[in-house]
Amino acid sequence: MTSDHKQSGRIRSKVATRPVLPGPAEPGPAEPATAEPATAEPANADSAGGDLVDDLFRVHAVTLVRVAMLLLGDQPSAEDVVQDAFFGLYRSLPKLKDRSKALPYLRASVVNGSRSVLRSRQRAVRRGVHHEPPVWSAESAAMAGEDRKALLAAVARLPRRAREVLALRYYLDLADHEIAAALGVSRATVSSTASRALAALGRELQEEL
Amino acid sequence: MNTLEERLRDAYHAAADTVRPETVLPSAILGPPGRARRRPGRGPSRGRLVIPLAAAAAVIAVAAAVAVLLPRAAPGLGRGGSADGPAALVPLTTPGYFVAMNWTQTPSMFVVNATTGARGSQISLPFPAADLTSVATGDGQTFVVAATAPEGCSTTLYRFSLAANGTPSPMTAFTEVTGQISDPWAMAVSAGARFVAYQTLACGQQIDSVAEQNNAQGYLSVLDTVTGQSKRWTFRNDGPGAGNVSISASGGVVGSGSEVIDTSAAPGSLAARGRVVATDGEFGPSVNFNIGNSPGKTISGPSVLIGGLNVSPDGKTAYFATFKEDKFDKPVWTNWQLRAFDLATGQTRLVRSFPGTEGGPAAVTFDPTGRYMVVESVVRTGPTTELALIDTATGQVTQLNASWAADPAIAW
Repeated sequence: MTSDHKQSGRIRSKVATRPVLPGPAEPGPAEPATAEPATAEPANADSAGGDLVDDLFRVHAVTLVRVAMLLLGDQPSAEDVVQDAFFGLYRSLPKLKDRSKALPYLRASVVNGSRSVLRSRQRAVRRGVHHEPPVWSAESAAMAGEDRKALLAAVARLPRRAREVLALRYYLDLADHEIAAALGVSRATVSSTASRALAALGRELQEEL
Repeated sequence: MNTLEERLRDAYHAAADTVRPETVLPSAILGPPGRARRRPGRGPSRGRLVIPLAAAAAVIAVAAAVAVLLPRAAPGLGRGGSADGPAALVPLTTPGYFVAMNWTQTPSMFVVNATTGARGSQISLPFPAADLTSVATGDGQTFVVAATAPEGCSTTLYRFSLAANGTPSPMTAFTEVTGQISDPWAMAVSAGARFVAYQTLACGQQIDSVAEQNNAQGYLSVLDTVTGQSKRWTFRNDGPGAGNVSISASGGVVGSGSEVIDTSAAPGSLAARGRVVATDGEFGPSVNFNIGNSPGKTISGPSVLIGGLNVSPDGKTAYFATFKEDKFDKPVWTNWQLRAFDLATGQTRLVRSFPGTEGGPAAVTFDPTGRYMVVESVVRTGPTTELALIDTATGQVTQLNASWAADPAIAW
């Protein structure tokens, strides 16, 4: 079933269990001082792998949450997606021969997880369950600037792939080949999608003016 | 700002900066299990519970070991037919196979043994998998498949049949309808696939924001595939008409959201011509929900969600689920009830409660006789979905072994 309640993050939290992530490091404070101690060695990752995930988390977690937030519009869902992405990475470490691919793996996981959340939301809406309004919505006070809100609202009306390409290109400043890897499409597709998206945005904003 | 690209960068960074690291991560990391705080507005179990990787993996490993060592005792749906152990399989007298569609990632479709839950052969698609949006049947033999291109404004309907041994025939396109049939619960077909009931949104509408979702104009259509004639009713996407679509075997009664309509009704407003089976709040005081680790604690308040409504094949009964909301207006998924609304008498009866169960009948589907329903619930030890059969006459539950089920839609 559905909706947000079926996010795997929730399932794992029901397991009592609680996944999964090490602490942040980016600007933020907080060492995970009171995090629960490990009770056993994980079955499928060595300590070097754990260090890799730790390092990636420290450097990239906040940025990935932000990217997911740009795709989803709200922070709690973005956190869930990123947490799932790191959890997936941790489980996949034994199969990940080239560890330089870990970050691309995370990016792709975040994009895929965001798609899944969006689909779940459609389903939830049919049950009458609505998610939080996006930060660029008129009712949100989180973000300043009406022009910015209008622009991102226009972006939100673009097709899904176009939104993903734009966020990865203009927020993360990824090269087209990196975007292609994250989305599982060709570079040409990234290029043409971005081009069409910008054209559509331009037309829409022109009309609004 | 000079160029659109610069404006985009600026807007993205402004939006991204609303995510402050200190607002997200510290509380999540520092919260020990029993004291994890939930922020207002979040889902009931979506608190950010973050612990070291090793601990989580250890717990999962233990859970997996327990799952292997202990007998399976209908975990997803509370006490099944027997409280003493796994429920016995209900002898089925109806088609032994159904079709399941995994739709949350790259959509795919495959045959499933209805008695055991075992996954069978994958059904090949004559169109890009990403276009697959829905599959439905009214008799377990003839299936209709909806294929909608993400950016298109029409849906192509395909047909295939399932042999008694579960072998699918090749799929062939038979018609195209206007609008996007955009999710698995937006289509239903009568026996023999003569009538196809489906929901669409007006083309060009985006439903990525709450306001847009609420304002969207929806259409409920019934197409007679023999005559080619169709009838259409309108509904608002935030109204009771939005939701699961179902149709009786004869095609005479259609369920849509919380509404049921006789297909002889004139076209127009679904709200004006349909009949609301249940409303939010109708069962509020009578539903007892468990919250977190406090079994038996009752949430007061009238809000109850109505979901997964399905008209029975004989068109006489509408089955639906009720959920309670918490004080943040979020559904409490860990408990739900299956109820039946008698369309002749207007009486509602409780078919079964599912205490302590995560789940609901989002994938609820009848077998062609209307006696059995297959529903889904969430496994507590992994990101898959439990499936179970419910005997609507006795309330008996039989758990299916469906570890393949990530988030399925089912056509039986």
